[in-house]
Amino acid sequence: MTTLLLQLAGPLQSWGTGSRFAYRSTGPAPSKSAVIGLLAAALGKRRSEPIEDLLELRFGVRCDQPGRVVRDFQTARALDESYSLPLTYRFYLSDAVFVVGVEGRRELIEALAEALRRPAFPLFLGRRSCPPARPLVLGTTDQQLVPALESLPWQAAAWYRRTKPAQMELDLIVDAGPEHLANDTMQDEPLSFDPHHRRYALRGVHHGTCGVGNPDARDRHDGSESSVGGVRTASTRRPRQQTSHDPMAWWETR
Amino acid sequence: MSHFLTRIDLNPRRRGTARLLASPHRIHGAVNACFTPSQRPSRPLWRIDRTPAGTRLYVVSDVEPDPTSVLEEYGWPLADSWRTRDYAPVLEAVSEGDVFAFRLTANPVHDALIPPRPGSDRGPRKQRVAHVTATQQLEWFRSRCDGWGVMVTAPGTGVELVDRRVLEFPRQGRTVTVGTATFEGVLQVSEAAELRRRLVEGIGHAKAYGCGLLTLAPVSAVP
Repeated sequence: MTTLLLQLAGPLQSWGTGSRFAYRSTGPAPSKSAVIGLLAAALGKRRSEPIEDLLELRFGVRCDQPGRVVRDFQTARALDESYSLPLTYRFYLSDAVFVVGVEGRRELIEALAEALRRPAFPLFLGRRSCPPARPLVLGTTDQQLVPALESLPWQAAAWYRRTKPAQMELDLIVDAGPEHLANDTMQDEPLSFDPHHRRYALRGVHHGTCGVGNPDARDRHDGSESSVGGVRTASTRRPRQQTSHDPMAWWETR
Repeated sequence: MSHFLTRIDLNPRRRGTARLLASPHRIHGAVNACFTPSQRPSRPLWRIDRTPAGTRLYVVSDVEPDPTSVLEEYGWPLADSWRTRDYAPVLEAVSEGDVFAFRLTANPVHDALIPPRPGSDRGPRKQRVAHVTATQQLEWFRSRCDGWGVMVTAPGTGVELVDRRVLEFPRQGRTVTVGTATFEGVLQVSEAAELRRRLVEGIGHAKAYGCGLLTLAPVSAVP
């Protein structure tokens, strides 16, 4: 089996799975239906075409940088301005980075990697308004899905890595398999993207974590606040709390 | 001349106290209200300490204060929440070589040379500006403490910056800005007479606004 590793990074991403009507939410991580749809778009499949060949892929996500949720409030009116459309709220993840792995037959994986480099349709991160900020393809490997996700170096942005400790635990969400039993189910296994009748099946997923090293960690207790001759050196940036210094202690002890 | 050290616990839950603490100009007024017009102190020093034990107002003056008005408006008027003591034992205890814990809230400033405007025929002028960074403020302390009769470089001594604030408050229709830094640590007395003078006359600028009061405590009293 071969695994294709993708990075999904951009100023905005949006991964809705249960949105209805005026609230268009985002999940905390890319959904399987979104990534299968992305692959299908790269291959040039139309929405009504079958996607059985993509459903044999095993899917996993590593949350390298969770980002934060931002809300976009939108109004719209009819073209002739005669009436208003409902107010809508659209939610996005900002500044998030995810690593996605898909595992499958070697021929299929290599075809997908090639298609992602020359996509038939434009690719975006969950919504048309969310273009990727980095190349999607990280590479292919002969490892299986979980080892491939676990061995990849941390992909978070440099500014983010500098704020974090030397050892990080990243959230890992993978299709349940022989080594990882399901501890959750999600209804985002796409059966058909046909706009007349979209259908999604339940899939068993395993939520776990994955340790990565942080080469850019800035350990606050590395001795930079060294004491020289009892005088703390000038790198004292953050004032500490005032103690209970009591000038009245000459007269009383309390 | 005798001096007095006074400590008044402030009640932070009272609305007036929040207003008071927001403006050093008001605290200055409240401190002055502790003295009768016939017996004004030469220049009282005061400081607000925000410690785990509570918010406290310390005053050093050469006239014994009557803190009734402060207690009534900002404290606990009926509780045993204030002390005033003759400062003489402390001043007498200070002698060369002694080691004390200290706290000082000061206004670290320097004279900056402001370049003239383009086209002006005047030279650069000096302006007093606050030291901004923690590094500058600590450097200000270390370079001047010699002149106050103390050392912070001997073994077992040292200074730390524990609080930094920029106070902005209205006074007579204008905004006053004072940058303050609170220093704490352990010092050794190098010139007792000079330190005694500093203890009652204060250190640096903005003494009306809660800066310049250096207090000492026995080292054993500091955890």
